Amino acid sequence: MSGRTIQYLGSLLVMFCLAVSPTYAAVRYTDKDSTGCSTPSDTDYDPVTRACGSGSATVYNTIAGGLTVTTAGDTLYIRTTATPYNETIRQGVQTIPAGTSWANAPLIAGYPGEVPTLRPSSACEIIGLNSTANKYIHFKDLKLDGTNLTQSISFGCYNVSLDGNNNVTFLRLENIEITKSPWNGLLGGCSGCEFINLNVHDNGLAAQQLGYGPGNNGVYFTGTNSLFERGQFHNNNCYGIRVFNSAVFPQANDNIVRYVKAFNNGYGIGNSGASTCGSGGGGLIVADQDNLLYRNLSTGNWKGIEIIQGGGVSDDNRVLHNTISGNTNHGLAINQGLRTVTDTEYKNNHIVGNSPNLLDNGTGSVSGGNRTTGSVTDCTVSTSNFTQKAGSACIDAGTIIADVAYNGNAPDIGAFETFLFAFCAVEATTPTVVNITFTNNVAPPLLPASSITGFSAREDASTKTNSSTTRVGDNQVDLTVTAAFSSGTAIDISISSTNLTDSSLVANTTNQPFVQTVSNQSCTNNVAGAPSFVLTQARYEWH
Amino acid sequence: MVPSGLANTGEAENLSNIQARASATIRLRIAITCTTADCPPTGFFLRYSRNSGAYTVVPDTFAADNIAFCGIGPDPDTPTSGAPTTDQLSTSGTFVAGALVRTSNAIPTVDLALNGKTEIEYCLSLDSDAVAADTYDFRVYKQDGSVINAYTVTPRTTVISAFGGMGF
Repeated sequence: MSGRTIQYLGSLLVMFCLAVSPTYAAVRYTDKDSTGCSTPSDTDYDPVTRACGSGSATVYNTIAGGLTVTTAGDTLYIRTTATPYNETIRQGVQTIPAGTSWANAPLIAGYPGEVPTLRPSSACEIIGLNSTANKYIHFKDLKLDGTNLTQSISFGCYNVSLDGNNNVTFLRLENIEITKSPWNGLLGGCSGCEFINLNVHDNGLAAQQLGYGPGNNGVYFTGTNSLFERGQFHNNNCYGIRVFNSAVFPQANDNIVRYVKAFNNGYGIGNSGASTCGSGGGGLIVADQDNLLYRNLSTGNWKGIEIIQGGGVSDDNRVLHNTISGNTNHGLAINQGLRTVTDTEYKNNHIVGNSPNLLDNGTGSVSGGNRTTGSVTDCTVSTSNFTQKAGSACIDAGTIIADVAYNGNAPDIGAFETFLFAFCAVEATTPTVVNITFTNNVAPPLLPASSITGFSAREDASTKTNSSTTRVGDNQVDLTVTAAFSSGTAIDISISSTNLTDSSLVANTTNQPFVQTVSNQSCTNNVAGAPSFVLTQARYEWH
Repeated sequence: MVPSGLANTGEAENLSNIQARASATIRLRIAITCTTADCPPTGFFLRYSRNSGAYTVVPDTFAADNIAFCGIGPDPDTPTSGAPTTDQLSTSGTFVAGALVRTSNAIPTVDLALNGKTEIEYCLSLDSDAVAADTYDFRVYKQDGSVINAYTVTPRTTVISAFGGMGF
């Protein structure tokens, strides 16, 4: 991760995804609860009525059937049904489509607004990919329920099983619920993959009950150059997310875990308190090299965040801007196992309310700006809402990190960064609009885009009547009033009890609200006055 | 004197919708006043609006709109370009000489004090294929392309067919 610029990574990834928003060549459906459709497929399906006869879409009664005809650029929508699909999606068993880039990655997804469940009655994995042919595939809006997967002490079974040698590349799992896997919820590696807003919970209990002592995790990832973004990882047997390999090769390097929430995982806590995870477990654990944990919440676990040595070298991992609180056995623990962990950088983390908060047995660790004293609510709204509160002791209290964006004089400590009022003006061309600019470098754009509340303006101390308040661009709010401002008057604004937030969306649920006090803040008045002179075309004559 | 090409002469001021034949050369004198406060030195450009379209700078040579400055060729009936104007129109105020303008390069810059006035006379030509019934409106603009403060009058001329057959 050295030299990588973090600050705009989120925005760039979002922009990348938008910029290459794929155009799907064909849209088909799988609906085992359809009405009047022939099996295994029919061609006059109506997605609205879910009946055949009056529509024109192709429908299959099985996922496997739909997969047989899905190719690059296609979409296969799976409908929610009264009972789960008793199916798997496995390389070598079903036809697995692939793309050649994100632009034509086949989409296998729940129908918009629906989250169908796959719960095979007997299998060892629900999604199983292990081939170099498995690339550029996009799974979205699915629930993978491992209740009935094979439970064995001699071999592991997983809801999502990826090849351990990173044969799989450019896989995107988005809005996927992974639950009740007997072993790890997701095991394996891949390269260039994206795991967006996963809900990974209640995994690993069955293996423990069979007598497997070490325990299992929500995610056990051994891949490279991959991203875990947003989402929630909770109530798992050991760790919410584990990023490293117990073997020497391949190493899990250059991965990013950001904006996720890992909670209630590990010994005595996970699996609703039944976990006896042999390693203890916790929220997030990282080894190997150049991995980044950035702006995550790790709360209420056995351990909060661990940096250890796995099978290979553990070096240059970074722990930046995380909120780590309420964990039973260490908030942030670096090399607790007394092996070799070098050059860990941990900065601007809010690590309080743990027992203890910090342990650093690493070599060459670089730290700064961490807050390890006081109560978590010195900074946060509450012990369950970790956004910065007004007057937070964490605001501008961090240390500047060269490749990390911040707002204000210095970074805030913890997962959330407050954003600031910067400037306001009324321009001559739009004399009814106050342009209000904010400094929001970390998580643009401001939200919501319209119907923003809590803004008011005055002219010469008389309150103006609001017409609308909307966002313009990423970080400007335009407050429109019903009557134009005049030249030379004193204009000011106030912001109180606003619904304005950034777009950090930690855990896919929480944005940082605007907490700065803005009261009668003067604005620049650029409204032109009446002309000081008048040139008039007054007469003419033809000759 | 009845200028060449004018089908309906207008010694009167603010004569509306004068008619001009194709190929005609016409001269238009415009008075500009300064009120409210001292006005800064201002360069004035003439713009035309053909058939109520956008106002466009009058060119030196004919283009699709069939109108141009009359140019600096010798013409015994037209003063040389840049010749100062005299106070002829009925606006009130202190007169400051403008200029007679025959090309787009002749931009008179006039410094009018409060309650001052000036007159600028433009020499224009219509092309031989000017279209009958086309209208041309004229306004002075500042040389930066911006409008002046007010236009209480806007002269208009309408094209009528050129003389056909033999002249007289």
